[in-house]
Order: sequence, then C-alpha cells, then structure tokens
Amino acid sequence: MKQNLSDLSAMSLNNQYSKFIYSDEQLIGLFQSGDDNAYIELVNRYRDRLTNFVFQFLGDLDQAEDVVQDTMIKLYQKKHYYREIAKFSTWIYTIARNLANTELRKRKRKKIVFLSQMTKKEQSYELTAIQPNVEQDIENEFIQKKIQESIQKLPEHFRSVIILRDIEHLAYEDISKIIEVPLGTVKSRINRARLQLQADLQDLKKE
Amino acid sequence: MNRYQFEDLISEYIEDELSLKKRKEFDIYLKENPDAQVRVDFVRSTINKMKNFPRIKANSNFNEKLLEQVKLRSNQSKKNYSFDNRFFGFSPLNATVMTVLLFAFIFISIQIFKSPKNFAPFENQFFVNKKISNHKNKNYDRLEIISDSLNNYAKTQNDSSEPHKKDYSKKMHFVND
Repeated sequence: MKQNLSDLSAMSLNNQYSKFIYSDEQLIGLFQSGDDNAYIELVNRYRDRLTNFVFQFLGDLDQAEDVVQDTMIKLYQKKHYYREIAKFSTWIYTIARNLANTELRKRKRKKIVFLSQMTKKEQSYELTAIQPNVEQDIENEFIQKKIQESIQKLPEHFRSVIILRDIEHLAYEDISKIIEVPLGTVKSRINRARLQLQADLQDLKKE
Repeated sequence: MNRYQFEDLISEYIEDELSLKKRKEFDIYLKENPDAQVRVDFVRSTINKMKNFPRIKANSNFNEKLLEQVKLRSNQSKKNYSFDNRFFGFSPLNATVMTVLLFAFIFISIQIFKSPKNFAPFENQFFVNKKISNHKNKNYDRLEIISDSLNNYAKTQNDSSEPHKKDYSKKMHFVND
C-alpha cells in the first residue's frame, strides 16, 4: 500500500484526484494497484448518490448512511473483486442495493415499519432546491412526502427499479445490470411500478 | 388497442420509445378515452416530481467516520490474521490438546492389546492348529488332538476362574447354630 491510512483523513478533503479528470474505472484501477487517494476520490464521487438512493429505498437517513458506510468499507476490502468488464457505477450500486436489501430483511424480521422520517431530520442535511415561494414549497414538500410514502409501499423489486430510473436517472441497461434481470423485465417492472404509484396516489390526483 | 395494451405502453409512450405505428395507435386511444389521457398526464407529472426530488447528501463527517471504520476493520483483520497461525485447522491450544489426546489414545490402546489374557482363546486355537499340522505326518488321530486341546483349554479356564471363586463356607452361619 503506497499511502498510509493515517494520512488519508488529512487528505480526504483536498484530494489530488478531484482536480483531474479520471474515469471511475481508472480510479478503481489505481486503487487496486495500492493508491488509497483514488479510494477517497471514489468515495467523494459516490457517497451522496448512494446516500440518496439508499435513503429513497429505506426511508431512513441514519440507516441509509450506515448502509453507504458499509458499502464503502466493502469497496475498500473487496477492491480486487471488481473486474473492468462492468461499469464501476453499476458495481457499487449493486453492492449498495444488496446491503440495503439485507437491511430491509432485518427490519422485516424485527417487524418494525419505518416510514419517511425526513421532516424531523432534514434540518441536519443539506437540500439543494430552495424555492422563494413558501406556499409552493410546502405543497411540493407534501407531494414529495406522499410520493416517498407510496414508494415505500411498493414491493422491493418495483421499488429499486423506480428509484434507479426516476430518481437516480440511470439507463435501463445499467439498471438491468445492477438488479441482474433482463432489460425487458426492467422495463416492464418500471411500467408496473409507475402504475402502482399512480393508483396509490389517487388522492393527490383529486386534490 | 384495449386497456391492458394501453397500460403496458404508458412508460414507453412517455419516454418516447414507441414505434411510429404504435404511437399513432396510442394517440387514437387517448383521443377516444379522456380518462386514459388523464392517467398518462398524472404518471408523467409523478415522474417529473420524482426527478426533481431534492437530493439527499451524506453528512459532512461521512469521510471521517468512514476512515475510522476502515482503520478499525483493517486492524481487526490483522489481528485475525495473527490468530490464523493454525495447524491442520486447529488453533495452537486446540492442536496441543488434540495431540495429547491422540498420544493418550495410542498408549491406552497398546496397553489393552498387550495384555495376554485377552488373547488366550486365540492362543489356544493357534496351538490346536499347530498341533494338528505337526502330528499330521505322524498319523495321529485328529479328533484326539482336538479333544486334548479342548480339554486343556477347559482346564486352564477352570484354573483361571478358580481364584475368583470365594469360599463362603466359613462365613456362613445359621441362625440356630
């Protein structure tokens, strides 16, 4: 290992690779050859995306962050399992999704239902969209919360595809690789998930 | 186009992935069914709302927490590695205990099989066979030899069992005596 781990915390904020354009695949290659700076850059690139994805999946911010931490630790420990036949993004999303699924199963076993707890906790998290119109803001937040609740009600195989497509904006091909099902199945699941959401949000339509 | 075909094609219509022919069919269905048009509009607006969800960001101390965890796990794995000096899958302590048990088992086995009493019946049989083979040439009667041997064996058995017999004659007292 070229870089000592103790030096990394100091470098985590000012990473040399953030100044240069490296593809994810090049970075993981560098990391596999022992450069931990590349790891930090990958973490910086994916922590927010994965947090958003897992949060939409689980509906709980603390758990989402724990799952993303575990994903990044897995990336560190299992770096040699990555082969350049797949895109790095699909690989890391697959890890995150599997861990989120495990978390979901644990939760089912405990029979605890967490719905979106965003209203209380969002203060500590940065939200990008800032609207000048307060009423509009409140209405948007209400609709968003309703949609998130409906997403939480979807079965897991519908939930993951709709989040990956409509919130994470991934291509159908990438989703197909992440959830390891054929492209046609992905398209059909997304369509059915949208219809199910539409049926669940009937009240919103009337309003 | 029926309702089921319409439902199957909603996403492809919204994402503009239908062929020209299918798209025309879909548009005709929408004109004929105003409810279907409302459904499509609602699905489209839901997709747009989801696209515009505010992005959740990781906590600001995410990297620090992560690096602590990575260090902790790598230290744990080092400890596990040092403990992994195993002999045939056993830890040093278990290997020592297993070796001692193995030697004890071998020693006890030798002691058991060393004892001549255990081989007495076999030894007698061995002598019978030997006698038969020796006297065959001298035209001895085979049955006679076997009966001799069996008698000898019975005698030895009686002799060996005699010490176990206890004499209770002196210890026995009738009440009226």
